[in-house]
This record gives sequence, C-alpha cells and structure tokens, in this order.
Amino acid sequence: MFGYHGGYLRIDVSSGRADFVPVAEGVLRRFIGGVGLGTWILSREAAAGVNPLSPLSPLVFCFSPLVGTPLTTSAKFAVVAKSPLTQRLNDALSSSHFAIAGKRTGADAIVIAGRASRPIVLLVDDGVVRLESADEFWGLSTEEATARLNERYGPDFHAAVIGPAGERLVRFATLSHNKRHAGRGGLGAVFGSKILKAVCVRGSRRVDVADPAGVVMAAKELSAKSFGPATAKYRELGTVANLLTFNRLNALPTRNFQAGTFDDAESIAGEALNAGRRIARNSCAACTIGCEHVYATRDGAGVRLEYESLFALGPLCGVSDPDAILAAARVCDRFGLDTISAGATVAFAMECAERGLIDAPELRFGNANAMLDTLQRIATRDGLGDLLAEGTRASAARIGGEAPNFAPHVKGLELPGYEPRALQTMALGFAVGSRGADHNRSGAYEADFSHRADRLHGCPESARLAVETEDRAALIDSLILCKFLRGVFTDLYAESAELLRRVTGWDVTGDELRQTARRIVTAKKLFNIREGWTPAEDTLPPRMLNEKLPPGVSPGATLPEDRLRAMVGAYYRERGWDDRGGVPDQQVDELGLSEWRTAHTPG
Amino acid sequence: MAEPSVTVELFGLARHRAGRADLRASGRTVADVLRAIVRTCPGLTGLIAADGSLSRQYVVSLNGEQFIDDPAEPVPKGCKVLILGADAGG
Repeated sequence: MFGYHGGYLRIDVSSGRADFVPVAEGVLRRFIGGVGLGTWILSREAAAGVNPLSPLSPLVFCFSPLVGTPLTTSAKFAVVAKSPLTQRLNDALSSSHFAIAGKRTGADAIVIAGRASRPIVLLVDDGVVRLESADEFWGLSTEEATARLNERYGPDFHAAVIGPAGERLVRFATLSHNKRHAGRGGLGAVFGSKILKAVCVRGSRRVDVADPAGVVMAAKELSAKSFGPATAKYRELGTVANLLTFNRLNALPTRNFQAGTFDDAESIAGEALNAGRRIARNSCAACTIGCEHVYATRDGAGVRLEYESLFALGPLCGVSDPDAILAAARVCDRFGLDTISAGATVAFAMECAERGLIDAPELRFGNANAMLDTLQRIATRDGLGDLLAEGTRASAARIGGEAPNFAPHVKGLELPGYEPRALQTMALGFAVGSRGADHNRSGAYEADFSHRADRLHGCPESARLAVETEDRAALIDSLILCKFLRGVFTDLYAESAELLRRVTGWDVTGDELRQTARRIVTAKKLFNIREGWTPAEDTLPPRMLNEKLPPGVSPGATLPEDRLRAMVGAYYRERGWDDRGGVPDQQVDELGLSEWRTAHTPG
Repeated sequence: MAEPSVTVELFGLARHRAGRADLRASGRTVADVLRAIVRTCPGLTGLIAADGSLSRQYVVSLNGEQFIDDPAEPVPKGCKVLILGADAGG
C-alpha cells in the first residue's frame, strides 16, 4: 500500500492501552483521509448518542495520504469528534509539523478515548505510547504550555495543546498547534474532558509513494501555481482584506447581526493594519503560500489575525479600536478560544445586556474593555462567563425571553462573518451545514460574489451551487490541501485524481472523486441523523428570517422563512435526499455506505 | 458625444495594487471602464486577461448589487463600478 500505513492507533488514556487497528485499503480509497476518513473512524468508534464530554467519546486526529509528500500545503490534519457545542459531527483542520510528525508515528490516524485521573501528556513516539504527568502544565496558556513541552521533550516532538478554556470545558475551546488552531466546535473541551493537556508526536516511519518522480514533478507544478495570481490575496494582504469588501456589500455582520455595515470599518480595515502594523508573514510547514500575517500589538508582541477574528472581535461587538481587537485575538489564542464563537458570544451577551435580559451594565456594544474582560471570564468560567461558556444556543435557552431569537447560531455553532441576508446562497450553506454555520465546509459565498447567483434574492436554483461548493470542500478537506489553493485548479477533481494516483498508485479518476466527495458529505449527514438530527435544524436564527437587514452602504435585504425553506428543499432534492432530508436506502448503497444503514431516517 | 464618467471603487488586491481607493473612469461598457482603469492605474494591468475578458482574479459589481460576467455589459449612467477580489471569502 502506498501513501498510507494501513490503520489507526487507538489509545485509551484511562489505562494507557494502545492498539493498532487495521483499515482495509478499500475504506481508505472510499474516504481518502482528513475529514473523510476521520468521519468513518468516528462513526465506528463512537457509540450512538455518546456524550461528547464523556470518557467514551473518541477524538480522532486524522492525517492523509498527501502528508509527508512535497506537495505544497499538504502538512495538514483533521480533528474529528462529536461536538460538545452542537452535539453533531465536528471536524476542524489545522496544519504544520504536527501533521508530518503525527503520520510518521506509524498511523494514518490517532484515536483518543477514556479519561485520565490526573492531568496528562500523551506521547506517541514512533508508535510507542506513554502517558506522563501534566501537573506542571495544567493552567498554562497554549503558548506557555507549548514552550514548556518543547523544553521537556525537545524539538523533535510536536504538540497539540489546550489552554485554560479547554481545561474548563468551554464548549468552543480550541486545540492549538504552533499558534494555529483546530478552532471550531469545541474540540479543546473534548480534550479537557479527558484531563489531557497535550498530545506530543514524534516519528520516523515514512510511507512510500507509488510514483516518487511523478510526485516530485506534481509538487513542483503545484508550487509554481501557488506563487501565481490565484493566491496573491493571501500572500499580499491576508484574509483581513475581506473586511472593507463585505462592508461595502452590506454583508459585514455588525453589532450581533443587527446591521451589515460598520461605520468605523476603515479604522480597522485590513489595508490599514497591513500598512501600519504588519510585522511578519509566515507559512505553515510545507507551504509556499505564506498567508499568515502577524500584526504588532500595543505591548510589542505580535498576533496573527484573520478576517474571521477581525470581524468577530471588531464590528460584531461594535469595537473599532484595532489595539483592542488585536489584544482580544491574543486572549483567544492564549486561552484557546475559537475567535468566531467567542466574539459572537460576547456580541450576543452585549445585546442581552442592552435589552435588560442580563444584568451586566458595562457590557455594551463598542466597549472594548468589557469585551476583553468577558473573554477572560468565559475562558475561566468566572461569573457570567460560566453561562456564556456554554455557547449562545444554551445561554439563550437559560436567559429566556427573546434571547433565542437573536442568538447567532445554526445547530449551536455561531455564524462566521458572512451576513446571510446579504449573501443568500451562503445562507443556504449555513442552514444545511453538517457542523452548523460554517464557511469552510460550504464556500457558497463564492456564488454570491459572482454573476451565477442573486445574492439578495436566494432561490431554489442556488441549491446546485451550494452542493457544488460543499462537495469541493469535502474533497479538499480529505486530501488534505489548503483551501487557499482552490483557485489554482482548473478541474479540481481531475487534477486531484492525478495527485492521488501518483501517491497511492490507485487508478482513481475525477469521476470517482466526485462520488467520493458526495459520499463524505452524505456520511457526515448519516452520522448526524444517528445522533438525533431533524430537518428543523436546517434553518437560520429567527432574526435572519424575521427582521430586515437595514440598508447600509448597499441596500438592505430580507430572507423570508418560506424562501429559505424552498432553498433547503431544493438542496435536499439536489442531493437526492427525501423531502425531510433523509437519505434513501438506494443512495446509501450506491455510495457504499451500507454499514451506516441502521439509522439514516431522521426522527 | 463624450463617454459617461463613472466612479470606480477598488477593494482588496485591486486597491493595494492601484495604491488608491477610487477613481473616475469613462466608458459605455464594463470593458471600456476596465481599459480606462488600467490606463490610469498601471498597477492594475492584470485586470484584463489576454483575450480582453476580466481576469479570473477579479470580479466586477455594479453598485454592489449586480455582478458582471460579460465585459460588453453597458454601464448605466451614475452607476458605481466596484472592482473586488474574486476570492472574497476566507
């Protein structure tokens, strides 16, 4: 077998027991790696209905056949578990040396279950597993813990760690590696529930590829393309450049989605940050793009900032002070908080406070100090922070009154920085997303920013565009390659098949990969159905359906519920699902998912 | 008869490469306006592909409401022409 070790390592941190579980080549070919293979493993390892924070809940680090090759951006890994925030399947990606070292331990994935009795570090060293005390690391920030782990174990080990937020089971805590985060859905809390501070990996077990010379040639070609115009934005400006564009289109979520235009957008624009504050540009391991832009904070330190952090900790909270936004991003990174959910939760709390639903007189839109204070309270579950650490869905249910109407989530996952009423194909992508409101598993905004869709008047015809982008994401996230490369492919499926052929030796085709992508999206859906998904979840927060987005620089917009329902129905039809979103037996069989057959009818 | 003049707003890479946020440009069609932009802002030479179509790197919107695929599309009087990055998302 080329490109794979042929199985995964299952580790029980209660006992320290480790087993290598072989995986048939046919399964690897059907699910590839990353999010796809991780979904297959999770479905097999997690009992139906498992509490995500119980010892029985497994967490999967999943690598891919491309990891370890010279293909640019291939040093990536997926982390897959049932989310404590959504109670649905959650997959998050991260990158860099952990992926390379993790695969060299001798496994295509590492599955962690159980619960330790005291804080531990899990070491996977060339396939040998050890549990060591993490007493001295417990309570440390992600950065401090990483630095101390490096001191203890040396530079050959690479660590994925949690911060204080994960230790305290904040439901949107992240897993951090090398200052990057597997960010969404609370995977850090799953780690914390196992009393697991860090996983450190080291290895020397390389896998062979089928066509070494062909892989090197493909890597050179892909690298050359990665220097071209399709990735220029990420290199030259970073994603922070989105802010003014979205603002101009009245699509920049502002003050908890009460507006789509932020009056002070120019003061925090990516252009201003790049001109006055950028101090470094970095890359992940094995990446030629270099998208990480680091900006100077007031204390002289630097922090990496993406559009999603900028929008969530800026306009969404009404904050226009760039120093405060950078400081907030740093707080989130150090404590291990997902910046999107954290910013959205603070913004939600600000609106609750302004409406008198909670007693928090300082918590007002635009109050940067209150935002910073609340972030730290969430991370440490202090006072009001203990409630907010449950996420906006659960907090709104506890607060009551009108709060659930403006809690900004889908399936419990807070919305990223795309105003759905102004980007209505994206609205559909959010509504049907398997992990909730998500701009990484659905890139439907691409249709909204094109002539192919009317962004202010979504229609059933948009369903095809939403399906198309979701399938492409499923393939990219399973190969795994960086989505910032997506623009360099003329035919993603055919070109990916060529890469996979050279690595694995399989006679895989573009058509097969189309089917694979469809299989992976459907498998995630089947997992969610097993966990209790119902069609009522495929919707948007009531605010988006009942309140007009006021006009800003561009016109306002409405997204009536019947319009969204028509789009969701069209999406089900486009996928070949029934009118309640159930997957017909015939499709389950056609996709080779018969083993998932037991529970694919929504309740 | 003089060609109508429109306001062009630049965002993302277009703004970065032009070194300015906006300009006035004349033209009856999107293609006319694009050529006028390139004449004023040499940094945006890549705006127009070799075959005269809009580069894959950029998208054009009229007033932020309508996205344009066909460079022959007329530009209405008083319209604002937005030049945006094609990779507008994260």
